[in-house]
Amino acid sequence: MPVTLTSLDNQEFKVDKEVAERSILIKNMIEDVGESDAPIPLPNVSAAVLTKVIEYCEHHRNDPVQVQDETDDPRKRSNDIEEWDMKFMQVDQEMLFEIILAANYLDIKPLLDVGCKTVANIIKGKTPEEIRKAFNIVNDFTPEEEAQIKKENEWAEDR
Amino acid sequence: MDRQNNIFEIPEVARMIAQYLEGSKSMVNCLRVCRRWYMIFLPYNWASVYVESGRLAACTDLLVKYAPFIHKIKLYSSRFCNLPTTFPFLMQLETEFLPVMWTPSKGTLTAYKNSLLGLIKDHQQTLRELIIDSAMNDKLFDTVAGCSRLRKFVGNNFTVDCTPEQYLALHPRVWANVESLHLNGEFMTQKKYVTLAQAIKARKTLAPTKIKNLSFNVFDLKLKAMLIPLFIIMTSPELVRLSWPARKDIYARYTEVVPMEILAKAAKARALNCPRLQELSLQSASFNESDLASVMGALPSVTKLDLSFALYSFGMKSAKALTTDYPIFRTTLTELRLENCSLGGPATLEILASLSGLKVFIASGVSSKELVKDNRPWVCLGLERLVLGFTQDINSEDKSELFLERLAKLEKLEYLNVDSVYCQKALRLTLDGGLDRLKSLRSLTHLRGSDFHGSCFKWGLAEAEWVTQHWVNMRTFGAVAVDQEARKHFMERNVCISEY
Repeated sequence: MPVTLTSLDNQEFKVDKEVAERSILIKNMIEDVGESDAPIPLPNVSAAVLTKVIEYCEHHRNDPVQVQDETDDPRKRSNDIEEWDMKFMQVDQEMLFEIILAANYLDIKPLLDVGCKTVANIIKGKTPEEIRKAFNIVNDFTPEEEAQIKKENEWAEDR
Repeated sequence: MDRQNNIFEIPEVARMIAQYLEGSKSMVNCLRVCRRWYMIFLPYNWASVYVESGRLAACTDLLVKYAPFIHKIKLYSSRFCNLPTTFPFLMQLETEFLPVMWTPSKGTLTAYKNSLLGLIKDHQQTLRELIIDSAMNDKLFDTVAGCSRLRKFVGNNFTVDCTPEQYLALHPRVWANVESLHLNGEFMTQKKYVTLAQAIKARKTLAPTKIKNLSFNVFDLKLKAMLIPLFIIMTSPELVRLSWPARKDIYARYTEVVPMEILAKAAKARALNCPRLQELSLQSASFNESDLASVMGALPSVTKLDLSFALYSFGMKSAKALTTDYPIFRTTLTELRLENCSLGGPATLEILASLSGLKVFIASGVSSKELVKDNRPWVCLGLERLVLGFTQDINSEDKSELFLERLAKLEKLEYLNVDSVYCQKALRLTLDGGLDRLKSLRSLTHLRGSDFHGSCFKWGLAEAEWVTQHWVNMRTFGAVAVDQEARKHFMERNVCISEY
């Protein structure tokens, strides 16, 4: 049975229930309210972003629910993104961040995870200046402060 | 900060990004970006630290300063565990003690034990995970028993140095909250020990644990060394995963008992009460068929069984233990791993033709003789992962056609490995060799073929086009030789070719 989702800009999207329920927020809402034709308002997500999120959920509609496994390597790797997901995440930075915000709001853990991996990959291998440039951030440290931070914190990184 | 950079302000998002940067230079670079990022990422930079005795002096002040952020300490020390402060939120402690080629003096060992004892005592209220690598006496057990939040305990290379009576007195307290337990070493070095019958009887006096995941690796296969593991199994009704040292190890310094026999004896005495056990690993097992049958009969909830590297061949009687003695496994067993088990063709056929619930079947070293028979169809039609590594020639004339016909029915297969590294001739997976029969395998994503060197066949453009047309999800294949045109075709479609 399809459900209707309404975006921030009042656009309506009809999607299969099992697709919509990849979002734990929507799943809980449907469970709380029961079967209903009434549209589900998503006031924090624009139509453009919701289109992308639905595309992701459609592709992953049959994925098994993720379970935290203690046998997993505790040190997480950011380079094991599936090929389809990697292509899906090839968007401009604004859209990438909007997808992450939407995934967090809608509680779609795997999408949030792949979004965060993508951001981590942007950061990796960059100098502080390159990171500032990538995210449009102004440096408010003095050179002395920055040097002190480097000196003190490098110790913890070496493990 | 604009809406975009707000993502770093959301704790869950910052935590997830940080976990992918942990231990890399990038984390420190993040701290240097701006004051806001410094505040956000600083706790993650110090969440986990690695301390070794040689560099402890250099980091003492920092450990004190950042102690509130530290959740995990990995300590490598050949001398002591004396840290300059306590850590109010320390949840994981991992100690690595014994350098391989170094035997400490008694004084050093005592000093180490005492400092480790002190370290654990100081953090009894917060520790959830403890990985220790050293001798374990009853005092240490007593201290571990005081860790009320402990969920995971791993003991590597250690000896449990207490009498059975001391252990039994501590058992209910030590494992009161632990859900995951992994012990590698020797147990109970005291000479005095009880018989197996006494141990089975003694279990009734012990309170049940909450352990769900349990694995053991015992160096010396003496009965007394097996008793703690056995006590734990017999008192753990919540077990979900169990890995038992089933081997009769030719490298063990002392072999007094065969671990599988002990487990079977406990099973026969109805002392194995694990109704939730799903995954059972008995790797490198040496067993007779009746012991396997006894163990499996006592553990009917098992859905995943690993008997890889069995020292003796997994013959028809072993297969029958799963398919006939306890017919419940015909539908409930979803995963069976029999890697390097010198598996006979008839036993393999018995499995493929009987276990209809299988999703994963790993069997290398299969003798292909009688792997297919006209009157015995394979019933495991839900198989998603199949490995059949052969020791004999699969391409024995008319049989290969029947083999392909059987394979073609496995429409849910995602991973197929028909490695024939020991064969004279390979299965000809070409269009004129019958490849077209396999077009029903639409879910296939990985294929490992049977011809490393292209000595029997090579895929050309026709096969390459066939593959991308019918196996649309195909991502990688190996051990299949391809010509230049086929290679180009695959590369253009992001299908990865590996040599092996």
